[in-house]
Amino acid sequence: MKDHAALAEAFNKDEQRVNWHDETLWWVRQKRDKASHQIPDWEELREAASQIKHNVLSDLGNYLEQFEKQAISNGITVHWAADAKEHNNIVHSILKRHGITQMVKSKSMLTEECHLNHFLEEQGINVVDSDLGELIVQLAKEPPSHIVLPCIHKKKEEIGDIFHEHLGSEKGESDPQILTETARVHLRNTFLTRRAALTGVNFAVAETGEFVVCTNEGNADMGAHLSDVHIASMGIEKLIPNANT
Amino acid sequence: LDRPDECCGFGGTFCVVEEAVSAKMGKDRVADHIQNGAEYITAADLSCLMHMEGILRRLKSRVKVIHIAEILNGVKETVA
Repeated sequence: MKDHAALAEAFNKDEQRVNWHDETLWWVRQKRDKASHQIPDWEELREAASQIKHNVLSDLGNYLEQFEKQAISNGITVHWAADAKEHNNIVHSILKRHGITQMVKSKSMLTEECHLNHFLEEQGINVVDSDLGELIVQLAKEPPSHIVLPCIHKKKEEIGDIFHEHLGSEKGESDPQILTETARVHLRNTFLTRRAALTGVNFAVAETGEFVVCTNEGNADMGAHLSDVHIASMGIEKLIPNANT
Repeated sequence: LDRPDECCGFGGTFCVVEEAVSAKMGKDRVADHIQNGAEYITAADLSCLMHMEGILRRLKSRVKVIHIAEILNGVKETVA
């Protein structure tokens, strides 16, 4: 496989496209700046979040055990995975135990790093990513190009081609509203028919054994609420001590 | 400038190991100055300035590169 520099060199051959890509990302950056500038104590909040993280990392073992204890008393089953392989095997064993061969999944960088989709597909499990950007790159058989904007590298015309091929939209359709509706209908059926949903974890609360999953599309909620089995894959550092920190 | 806090893309060994990205970043950084009517580009870092100066030269641009110390010292004309 080519390294980043070689791939970047090839990408940079089409300068118009590079400029388009750059403008697209800059537009997101401007939106981010606009949002953060509306919060007067933005930097203080960042610093507070950073200190909470440092605190958790300084006593990670105890916080994790506290979380586990509380989570179990909330009726959650807690599994510990030492590495990606063990994580993937645990997910597979849960699905196998419930006789499940199809799963819906919301965005999770942890499972991306574990190459979970690929592993499950080899075991005969069908996985559908329900985040819109993740769904598009999954259909295109590509990895996400960005951790929060997985499909930022694709133009709407290209997404139209992918949806025409996989989801049956009209050939040449590139209207974002219509394409989003196509994905919505496809995903609605997926949510209604899957018995297992996997989500990531944005953070978990050690004191109460709760965990929080945020999405802006409602896809994690839809997946988890409509399934019999909810698997939440969480990195060990995704903890906060309590809800008041 | 439209993007006051953007990097020029030089980055020491970055310009060697990631030549394509480095060159494009420098090109964009220079273009932002040109589009906004800059006559001089200044900075505290010499390698940033060298990187942008190289790009300006290739473009045969009249925009000049001047180190901030030269401004503070009151040098009238920069060495091209």
